[in-house]
Amino acid sequence: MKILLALIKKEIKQILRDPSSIIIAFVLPFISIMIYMYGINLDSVKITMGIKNDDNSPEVATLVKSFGHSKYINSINYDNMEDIKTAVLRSKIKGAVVIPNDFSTKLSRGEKADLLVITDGSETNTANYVQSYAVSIANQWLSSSKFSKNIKRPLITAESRTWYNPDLNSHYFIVPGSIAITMTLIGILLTSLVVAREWERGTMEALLSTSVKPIHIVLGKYIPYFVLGMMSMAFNVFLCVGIFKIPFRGNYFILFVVSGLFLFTSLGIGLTVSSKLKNQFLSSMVAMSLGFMPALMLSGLMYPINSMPEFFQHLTRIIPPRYYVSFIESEFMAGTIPEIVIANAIFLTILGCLLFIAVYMNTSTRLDGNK
Amino acid sequence: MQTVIIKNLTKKFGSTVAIDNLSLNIEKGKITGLIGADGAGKTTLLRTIIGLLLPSEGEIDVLGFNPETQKNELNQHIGYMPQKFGLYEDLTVIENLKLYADLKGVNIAPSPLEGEGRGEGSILTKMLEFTTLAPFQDRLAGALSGGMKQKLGLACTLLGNPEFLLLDEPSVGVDPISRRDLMKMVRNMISPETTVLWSTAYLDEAHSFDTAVVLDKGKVIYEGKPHDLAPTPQEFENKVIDLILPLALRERG
Repeated sequence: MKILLALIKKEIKQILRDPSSIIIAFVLPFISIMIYMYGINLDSVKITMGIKNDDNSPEVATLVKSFGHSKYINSINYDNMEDIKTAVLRSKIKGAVVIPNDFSTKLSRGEKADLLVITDGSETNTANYVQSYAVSIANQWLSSSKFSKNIKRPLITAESRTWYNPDLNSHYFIVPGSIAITMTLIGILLTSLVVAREWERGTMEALLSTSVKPIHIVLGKYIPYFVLGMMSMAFNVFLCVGIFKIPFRGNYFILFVVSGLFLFTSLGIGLTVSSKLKNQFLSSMVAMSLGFMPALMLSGLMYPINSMPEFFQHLTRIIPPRYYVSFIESEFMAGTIPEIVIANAIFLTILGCLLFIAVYMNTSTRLDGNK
Repeated sequence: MQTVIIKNLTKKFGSTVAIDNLSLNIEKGKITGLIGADGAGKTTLLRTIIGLLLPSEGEIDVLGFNPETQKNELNQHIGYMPQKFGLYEDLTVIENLKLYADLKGVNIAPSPLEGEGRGEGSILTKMLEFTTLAPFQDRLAGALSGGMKQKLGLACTLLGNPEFLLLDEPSVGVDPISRRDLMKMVRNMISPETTVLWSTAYLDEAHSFDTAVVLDKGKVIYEGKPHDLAPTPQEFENKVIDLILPLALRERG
């Protein structure tokens, strides 16, 4: 116990004297949350689109005005298709609506009238917005115009209610989800360096000639970085809830317990790599590739898991952030749901324990890697 | 009585033979110099003796322990100073000493007035005074000069009065005065029963040891008292070079 305490004290002193640890633990989350809060936006934004109106009827002029009055659209009027093409090419507009000259005539006869919606397929998300905004504005205009009497009313109307995030504000799930990315980064980056640093600086050789056992070395690294990671976690939650006013409907105790389990897995990845490779540069690169990239791409934060190819869907099962993202999003937005908490906590515990065993197995007591 | 008994030790790294069928006994209570040029196998031999490396072939007995299977038990009786001694450069002098005292289970007498390990009569205070590091005890180890770092490394190694002290080229990169201080430190701070195995490439330094073991290409080419080989350090140096050189020339054809 005395040996373990001595190693923990040593590690804490090193952390406090190393500005990079503090930067990784506190400055990096701040920058990361700022980027996710202000830099990344999956929601509808005001889109600039072109309108070319070939129908000179006064009714259709009100449709053009409707586009101009929409809070989601900036409209620019064009007279010919060439100008629209040039504007799309230069990204001045994200799409265009072309109203044909027989539009009002067909509507007044109760016939089907076509509206051409041009979108820029190089930005698929924006293209979808342009399409749905244009159709929605046209339908709204139609229902309040004099042509509305020609429309057959549908027998069923769908009333939509969005639960947990009625404003459809993507920040409400992206920013809490970004905590998973930040915690992965912190856990992996900090620990991928620490064991390798002992080997590179020659301190490990001196340690291995004392009464230190592998379990002391492993716990001597896990415990201080776990404490630092949890402090960083508290800081992340403070930024999310206290500063950026992201709604939190869950239980803070459960949030911190499951976050602790997740941090346990992240530290495990960093320490496994660091113990195995014994080289700071190489371990940080490998740990980032093994930990950070899958966390970003395959955790379900940015891309839904069920829309991935089957192989990748199965692959996500061994990626700890998958379980944590699922937990933290529901904890923030829907509150504590026991089934979600328990299932994700069990998987995180299993992965964390497996990684702990991997760290222990890779912690050698001899210079040639033998136990 | 022997502290170390080595029989037919071979250590290979892939196809490279670092220690070649070496047999050697190291006598208890003596300072034995392990002499050899770079690449002679000095560091590999030291590391294998304390179990940091496993032998490819042969047997080793150190203080009655087998380093292959009883490394942890052996570690409690030895002090090992690696060539690039593992000082924590971001810890102060006193913090390094306290850390190694804790790792070796050395009791530091607490002093409520001056802080743990700083009281009069404390082992750390004695160590600091003896190594002349007392005025620098709150300085980061990374900010010490080369000689001071080696003294601190040696002080950490000496904590706990090890029965067997292994020093891997402690005087490399150190000025002549500090080299002399290191030698003085070892001689004054060990008990008469302590065995020292001191590896060095400085032949004048080796002349002052009780026994000299000259290594070349992983083999012992001389074992005996330095004075038996030559009466003065200068002559000793020439004799050792005369021993090593013909082998090198023979190899070159």
